Amino acid sequence: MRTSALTMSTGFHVAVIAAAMISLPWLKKDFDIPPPIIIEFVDVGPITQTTKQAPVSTPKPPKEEPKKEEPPPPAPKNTAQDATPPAPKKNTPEPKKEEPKKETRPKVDPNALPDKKKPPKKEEKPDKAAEPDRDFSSVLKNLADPKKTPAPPAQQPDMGLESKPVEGHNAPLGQKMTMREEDALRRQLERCWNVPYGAKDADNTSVEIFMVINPDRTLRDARVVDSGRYNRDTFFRAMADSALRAVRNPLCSPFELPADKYDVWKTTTVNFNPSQMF
Amino acid sequence: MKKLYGILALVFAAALTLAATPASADLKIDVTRGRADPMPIAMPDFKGSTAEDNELGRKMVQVINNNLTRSGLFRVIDPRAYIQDSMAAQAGPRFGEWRAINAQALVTGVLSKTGDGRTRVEFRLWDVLAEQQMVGMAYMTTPTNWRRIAHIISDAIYKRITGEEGYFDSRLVYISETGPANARVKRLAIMDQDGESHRYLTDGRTLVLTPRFSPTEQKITYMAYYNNKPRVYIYDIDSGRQTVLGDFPGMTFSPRFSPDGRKVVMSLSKNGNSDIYTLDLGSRAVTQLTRDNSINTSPSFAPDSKQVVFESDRGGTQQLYVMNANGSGVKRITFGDGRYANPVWSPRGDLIAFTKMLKGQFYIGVIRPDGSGERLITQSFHVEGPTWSPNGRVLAYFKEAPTGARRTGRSANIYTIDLTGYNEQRVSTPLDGSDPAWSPLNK
Repeated sequence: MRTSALTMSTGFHVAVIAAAMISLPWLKKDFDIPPPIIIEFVDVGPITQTTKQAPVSTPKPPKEEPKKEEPPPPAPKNTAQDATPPAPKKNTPEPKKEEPKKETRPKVDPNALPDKKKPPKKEEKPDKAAEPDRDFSSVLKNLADPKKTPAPPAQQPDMGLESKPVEGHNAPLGQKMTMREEDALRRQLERCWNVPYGAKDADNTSVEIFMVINPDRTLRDARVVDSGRYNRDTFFRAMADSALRAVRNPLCSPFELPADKYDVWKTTTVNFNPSQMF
Repeated sequence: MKKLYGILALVFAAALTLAATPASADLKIDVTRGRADPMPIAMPDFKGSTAEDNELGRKMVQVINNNLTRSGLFRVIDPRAYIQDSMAAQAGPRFGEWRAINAQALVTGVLSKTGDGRTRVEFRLWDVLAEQQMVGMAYMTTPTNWRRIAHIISDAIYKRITGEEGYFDSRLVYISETGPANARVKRLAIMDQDGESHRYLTDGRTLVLTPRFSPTEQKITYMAYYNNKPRVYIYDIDSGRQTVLGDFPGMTFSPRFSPDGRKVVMSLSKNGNSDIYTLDLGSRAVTQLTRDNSINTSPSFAPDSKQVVFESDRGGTQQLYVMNANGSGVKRITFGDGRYANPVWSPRGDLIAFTKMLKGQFYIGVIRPDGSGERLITQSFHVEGPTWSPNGRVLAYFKEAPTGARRTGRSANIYTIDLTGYNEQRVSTPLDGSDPAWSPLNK
């Protein structure tokens, strides 16, 4: 009886310690165990000969001749070109004569461009020295008139609240973050988060990152809260990785946090969610 | 003893509760805004043990660099800033050095020869900030296949970073044009999506128009005027064989494959109006989808084959409509000023691209299938013919500009643009190019 109680007790203790070790990995000093290298061998040799197809043209006239005459076609509606100069599109093309000077400059009749933030790019080479930074809010271009453009993301509503600290009467001084302090961290992370924009569900995906922060305000550990989805949804994983890169970005280290409130921010969860930007 | 069990159970429960606490942190912050800058990525030349392999590695990195840069989502850091070479980094990057030059990702690769004379290319993508490998793959192939492998590696990097399939290992078929405006010679031509590996498929004796790729096979449908009769043909790229699709009364236009590649949807013109039909490529059965006394043309299937978008002037002006695949439930989706044409449903299903004519200008735009969210993303004197990349992320189209002192000539070129509307890129072609059609990913 005694032995079995001892065994039972030992078992429970081991379980408790194991559970703590698994779920509290930030307690371990070095958590960055090099992951196993995955190499997948894919033999693309014989199937992918790009030279496989017969060289140049040898255009064969279509073999099967039509059996009977067809009535003379009404003017093609959809086949824009024919040998004559490019009648733009179908029926009654609009007066295409009043042309802008040259083709490589798309646009812009000045008032067609509501979004001043981004000059539409003219040049063909993108590899020009870095284009100006793109704020996520201007990521989707629209040349249509302003009323149709997607509403610009509302300016941070909390701006006006900056001056209003939120600590409750009962909160011990220094034990609660003010709105201004939270905003500082938020804005810092916004500068470090490069969003995978343009993806199909980018506006419906949010990612929670759990962080453990050192007293010197540097990151100790960060991980994705929904690790299940991280492992099965490639887009979520890309979004989560972008969020992890944001919190690990050297430009965001150390975090802009009040040094005297370590107990408040030593563990922080950041919810990265670009939905308001579309 | 029972008491002891009870206590142990409580301790265990408490431990489990504690284990679940990481999610309930003290501080919670919402970040609802970010940047859309290209990701800084480092990519030293792939290395091998012979001069030949080194040269191959250099060329492959050039292609990958070009692909990623043209996508607008990546910025490759100047190699002169690199400290570690690919061979050394492949075994384990010194992440601190890569962080020092602001790299967020690193691509390394090595080449070697296999016993049977083939080349083995092994590459790894590293997350510099997390200090871990994101992808590692190896490919074995004949050295002549290096360009294709570079595209496949580009796709693997793109997919891991963006979460979406890539589009670099794909091709564009288009109409190559040359000669004076009143006697243009038009040939069907094909090239990689980056403009390389270009070749002609027809010789120019027959006028060819509107090529469209099969979404499932290396086949193209197009129209050709053979003996001055317009017909819809199918061209098998692998065999070079062309077959005529059918002998229809009246005139056929805008042939386009269904998503499963088994049908072609097109419009037939009879007695002054045109309607939309499908042709089953196996049985050759023809089904009429629209019955209307107006012009209905330019049909394009949704990727799930359940709906078709087309253009029609049934409402008085040329607008876009969506209907069920059997022709029922027609619903107008555009109501803006100007005229809409050439709708093409995105392979990922969320958007329809179109050409719009408004006040003498042409635009390429996108709209959701329910008619919301219309955006015009590029504009020109004449721009049309949008076609989607296989991942639905990029559009190709052509732009035409007047040339000559009297502006009577025409010059046409092919461009691509990201669906955000930025990052417009020209695809260089030996002669003028128009009417591009994007292939599915190569198989």
